[in-house]
Amino acid sequence: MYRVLIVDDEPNILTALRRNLSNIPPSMLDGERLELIPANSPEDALQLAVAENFDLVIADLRMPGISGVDLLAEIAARQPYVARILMSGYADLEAIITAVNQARIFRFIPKPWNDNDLRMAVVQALHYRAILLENQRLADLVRAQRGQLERQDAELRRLEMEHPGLTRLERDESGAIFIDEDDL
Amino acid sequence: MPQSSTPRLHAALDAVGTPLLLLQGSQVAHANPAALRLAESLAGGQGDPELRLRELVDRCRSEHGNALPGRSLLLPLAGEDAALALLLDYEPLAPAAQPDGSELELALARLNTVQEQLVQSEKMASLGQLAAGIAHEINNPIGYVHSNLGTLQEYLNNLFGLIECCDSVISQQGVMTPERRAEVAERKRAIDFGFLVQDLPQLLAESREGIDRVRRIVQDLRDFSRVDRLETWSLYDLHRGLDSTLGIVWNEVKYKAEVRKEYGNLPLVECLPSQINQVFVNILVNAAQAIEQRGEIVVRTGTLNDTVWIEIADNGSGIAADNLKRIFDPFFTTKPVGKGTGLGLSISYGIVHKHHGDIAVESQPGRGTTFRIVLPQRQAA
Ligand SMILES: Nc1ncnc2c1ncn2[C@@H]1O[C@H](COP(=O)(O)OP(=O)(O)OP(=O)(O)O)[C@@H](O)[C@H]1O
Ligand SMILES: [Mg+2]
Repeated sequence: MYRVLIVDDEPNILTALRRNLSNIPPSMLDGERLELIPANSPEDALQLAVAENFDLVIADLRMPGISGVDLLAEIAARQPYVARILMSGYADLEAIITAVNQARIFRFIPKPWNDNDLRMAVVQALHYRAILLENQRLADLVRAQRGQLERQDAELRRLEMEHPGLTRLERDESGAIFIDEDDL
Repeated sequence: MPQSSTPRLHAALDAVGTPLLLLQGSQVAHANPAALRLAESLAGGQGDPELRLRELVDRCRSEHGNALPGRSLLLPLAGEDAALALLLDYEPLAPAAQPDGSELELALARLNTVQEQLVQSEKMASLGQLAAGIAHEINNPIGYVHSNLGTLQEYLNNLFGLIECCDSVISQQGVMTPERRAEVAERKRAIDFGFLVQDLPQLLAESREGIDRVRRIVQDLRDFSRVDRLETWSLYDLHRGLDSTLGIVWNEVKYKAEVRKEYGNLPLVECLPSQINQVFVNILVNAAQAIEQRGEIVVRTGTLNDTVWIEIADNGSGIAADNLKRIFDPFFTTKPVGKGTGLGLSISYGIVHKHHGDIAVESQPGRGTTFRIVLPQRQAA
């Protein structure tokens, strides 16, 4: 189940988006379904984002009180891995630049939108987010393993200090230790 | 400066608030005080005024090509919130050769053309400023109507599929077996028939609402942007003017203020409708811009003797006493560069006075501002 928060001050946009996105076939979403959660105002959206986690937030740019950019930036501060899409009926270059730089949005979708483009954007945003999470998981794993390796290294160094040459002993197949006669 | 132009013409030009230059060939024959102020402000108060004027003219020529069209024209200055009117090669006749006053009339007629151009160009400028909001107001409904049509297509495909399924079941001979019934039921379930039946009328209603909204905005725009030259004095319903103006500026207003209408009973008023609407736009946009967070704009109307009045009141920032005397001056603005040209109220003032009406302001800093426009119901014949 992917949880998608949709924010627009225009209720008819919310219902149109719900209709549009609920038709994405699960096969395109790794067999998952979308749960669409509408919010009619940026305040409602923030409240929801404090209480629950989302996989994706789609927000309108021009809304009363808080702009879509500020809203997405605010939600991203709480949930760094939430994917972010911004929509707008009109945006100048400046608005889009701040959206990319401040809210680090994944996509900008103009209104009126193309239904297929929007669905593709949602699918790709969720994939992108999955890849980010996977990267993070792998990075953590590497870090943890490296930590373990470092502990082993340190132990070996300690043994070497106590018994020089100990860590460089060669063993034969049976595990017996070779002792080089020159060493003696 | 050349001697040929007469002092009376200069006096007439000096009485105009628009920056005006009288050119003879490449010479500046006369500059009115508004033009001098403009030149001064552009140069930051430094250098020889005459030199600056010549620079201004050169700039106009290079920005608009050497061949300046027409004989009187209004030129916006690139990079500045300013416009300059030029009268080209206006040759007053020798005083003896013409009856008194005709020269002044000529100059006035020309000035009127310039003023018309100014009104028109300011209207276009304010439409330009509003364009973002209007695009937003139109693209939202178009967005969901368009998307709903896509959904409708899918719903219909599903319904047609269901009909075909029913057809094939019916056309099979014999009794309705439970298996056949189950086939239809399964098909209905697959297309979520129950939801579809409930959602389809809703989809249509929302889409119709969207189309209505677009239609209204387009209608409002048409009311607003009628070309002045063709516009004649007509009897106009000012409430309709206020409503369609509110439609155009809605995107600037709706996030800032609740709008309360307290309309009285108004007769039709003889006016130039699109110009009067432009006055409403200027005042409403000012009101919205004066509100910091969230406030209220009240639009009141009423009659008094044989005049009508319109009040537009906001509870925004208010205007400092020092500024209050200057707000109707052309180019006076307290807004940051790029936000305001400072022309809105001076144009509005010109329009209202052309209607033999009056515009007045009352303001308390920190409390709000009220603009009151009084117009005669009929123009004197
Ligand atoms: N309702 C208001 N509340 C507070 N100040 C106002 C109001 N209306 C006008 N003003 C002041 O008057 C000035 C002049 O207004 P005007 O409409 O002529 O120009 P502008 O709004 O600055 O620019 P423009 O209208 O050309 O975009 C404004 O800059 C502002 O300081
Ligand atoms: Mg203004």
